[in-house]
Amino acid sequence: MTSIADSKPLSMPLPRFRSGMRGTFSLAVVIAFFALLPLGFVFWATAVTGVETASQMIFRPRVGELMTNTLLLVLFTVPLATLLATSLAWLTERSDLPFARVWSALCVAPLAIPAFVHSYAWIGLWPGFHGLPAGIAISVTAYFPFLYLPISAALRLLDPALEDQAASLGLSDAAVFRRVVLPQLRLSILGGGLLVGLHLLAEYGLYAMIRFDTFTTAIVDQFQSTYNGVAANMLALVLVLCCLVLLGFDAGLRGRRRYARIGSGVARRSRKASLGRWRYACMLLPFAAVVFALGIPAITLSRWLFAGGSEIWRMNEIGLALSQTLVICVVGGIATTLAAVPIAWLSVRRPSRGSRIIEGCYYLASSMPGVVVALALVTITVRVALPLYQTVATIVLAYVIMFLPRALISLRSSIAQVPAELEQAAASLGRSPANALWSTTIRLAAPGAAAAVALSSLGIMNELTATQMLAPNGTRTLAMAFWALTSEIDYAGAAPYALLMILFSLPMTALLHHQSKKIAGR
Amino acid sequence: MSFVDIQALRKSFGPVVALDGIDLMVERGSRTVVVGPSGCGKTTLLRLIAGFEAPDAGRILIGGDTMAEGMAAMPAYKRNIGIVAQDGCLFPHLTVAGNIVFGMTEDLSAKQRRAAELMEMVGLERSMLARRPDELSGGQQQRVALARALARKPRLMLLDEPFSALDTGLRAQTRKAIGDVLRQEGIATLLVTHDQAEALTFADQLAVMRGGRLVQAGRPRDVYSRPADPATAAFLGEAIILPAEMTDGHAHCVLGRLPLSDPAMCARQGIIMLRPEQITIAGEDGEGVVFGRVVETSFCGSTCDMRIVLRDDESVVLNIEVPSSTDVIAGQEIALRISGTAHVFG
Repeated sequence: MTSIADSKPLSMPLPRFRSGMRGTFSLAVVIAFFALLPLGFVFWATAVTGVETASQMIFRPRVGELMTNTLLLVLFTVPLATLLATSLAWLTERSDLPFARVWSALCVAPLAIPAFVHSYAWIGLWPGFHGLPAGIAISVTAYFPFLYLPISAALRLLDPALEDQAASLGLSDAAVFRRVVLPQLRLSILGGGLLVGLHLLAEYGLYAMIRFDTFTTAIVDQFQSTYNGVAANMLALVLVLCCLVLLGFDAGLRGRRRYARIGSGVARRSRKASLGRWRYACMLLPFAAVVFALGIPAITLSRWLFAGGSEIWRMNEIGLALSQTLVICVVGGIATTLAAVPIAWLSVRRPSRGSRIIEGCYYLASSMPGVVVALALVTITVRVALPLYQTVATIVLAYVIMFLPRALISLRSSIAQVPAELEQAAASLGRSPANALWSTTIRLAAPGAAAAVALSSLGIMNELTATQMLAPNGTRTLAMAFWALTSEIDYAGAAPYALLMILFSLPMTALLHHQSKKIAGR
Repeated sequence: MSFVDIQALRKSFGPVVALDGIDLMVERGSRTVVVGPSGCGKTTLLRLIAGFEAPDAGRILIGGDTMAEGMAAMPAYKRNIGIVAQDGCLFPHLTVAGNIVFGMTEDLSAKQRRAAELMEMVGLERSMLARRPDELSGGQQQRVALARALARKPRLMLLDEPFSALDTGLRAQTRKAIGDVLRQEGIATLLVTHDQAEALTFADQLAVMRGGRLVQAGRPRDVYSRPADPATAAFLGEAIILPAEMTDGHAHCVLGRLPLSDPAMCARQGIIMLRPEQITIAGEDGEGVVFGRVVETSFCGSTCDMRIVLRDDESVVLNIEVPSSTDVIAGQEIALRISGTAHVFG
């Protein structure tokens, strides 16, 4: 008789169950560590500087001036853009506005134009247009699509039965909009508003072109003129604090509530409100928005292109910039998407407190302005890992930090569409966990991954601030070349670069528009 | 004059005719159930009464006021008609209390008092007032939806399949609770459903719809035992439909000589209907029994479903329900007794 103790030990130790998940989790944590480097750097730099020097650097008139500018810019731009985007979304989604589909596409199209090209276009028409009014006007036209996209998607998703119900409880159409529709748009408005706010804080080119000083332009100036670490670092601290305030404000207003549609059943298609005799007059609003957001860039660009003639098409320079841009976009886009895979998989297949915290870290890191990310990576590489200073690896890391959430969104929704049972079936057919993941989920999620690469590449192509500060010597992307030429007041010479950036961005903007419709179930 | 008076109501959606001339009356304080298969137009009828859509033609009068005439319609928010939808349709961004007082115009303290009153009326704890709709069960959501609709003291209450999303046990319980509240408040109610058992239980007046038309309206017992046509008969429950010859107040068919529900019926040839509960297993052979053979039995707990073919004509199949204590097995010959009257389709 043999007891259990006599039985032979297993020749191979059993792997710990779910070890694959642990590996993925650790990978996600490592990526989160890198993503949080810039934020950590800013606080570390403050600590090193010491309270006295830091407060000297922060509490001075110049910072007050920058603060006033930034604050006024945010306080005017975000509400105005919200008002414009909500009106446009209502007109295109819920009224019988003529050519609503066309207007809807045109309201998203401005996203294809980099923000600094918008201001280039405006000062091409009105060279004297500077300061706060210019900043607000250009920011509203450049950024309202960030609000229009989520608000119009939310309007499509609203359950019209709720509006019927409110009418049966004695509310007129206007009251229904105010008390039922608007509260349900809250999350979309907050999300879009936060995105616009963060862009306002982070944008460099748009404001530098119209000579409107914000924290970001001041940090870049400081960095370029003196490499004076401490002054730039302290401005970065204030900028980061502004971002954190914005994030906290958003989180506070958002609360923990999600407005899920309760109950089941297919939502009835919503009815379109009849504009009556105002039907054609109402086209004036989208028309005006499109004239400012698309018409002005189109007029300026075509004027410069026409004035410049064939001379401005210096093909070898443009070709070099284009090829460098494409390489950096593809490398950066793929790296960003790969970095998003672990957390995307975890958040769909093994959601936990830990995975949510990691995800939050990525979002927090990506809301740091490009200038802060660049400043941090420059200092860290110079001090800790000099061989990495101004290398492709560093700039790709910056892109990963800045654009990971974009990749995450596409990737997650496509992974969520693949049933987990397929992965289990592959495992039961003898595939190892990694192999099972590769042959089922990743294969089927490939379109989503492609979209993730595309969306992060779009961001990289139009990124100017961090690219300028981190790019290896001799690199000249389209955005950098455009910026260099406009700085030399060679507006005609810059036009071909702007045109190329817009042309390459268009397909990806179309993809964004398409995705927002798909999310809304149409 | 009836409280609700619907005359020759028509509505089309493009080429699809949803309502093809509906006439319906609802008495003050009564319960009417509109029943019919999916797509028969019953929901459209409800939406027209509520004012969510305008009719193409016809009239809707409530308490003597014209709600809709031809294509002109009073907007929903001016009608003061309450509605409880299939999934409750609570506002997800408001608490239970916020939902209940949503349509009220009184001051805050009156609203709070009324909300507490209504919660009691629909049988919910007051402590639930602070909750969010997604923290309630399906039955609780429906009760809140009813409280919200009652808050404005509506003159008519529309119920759009409000129980169909609930589990079987909860469904009967919620239906009774909601029905009792409405009865107590004396509010005329119109329920729309595709569930015939629910319709028969709830209705004072049953209206059967099919293909955009109102096929029959009347007391549930009458509609059940004297349906207008075979399709209605089958929709409301299991029906035995047979050809027969009529003479002096009786029908002659394969089940023998049966008295007619309407002895004045003068047609010579016709189609008659019996309900399965009119057929019972006779203890022994005797006067007026017919013989059949049990083909199949299936046990359903308290009852047992039985498929029987007639000995004289094996093409006639009867599906009847007997107490499960009945000791009969498949293949056995049995005697059947028929009670009650036969209904002749006009």
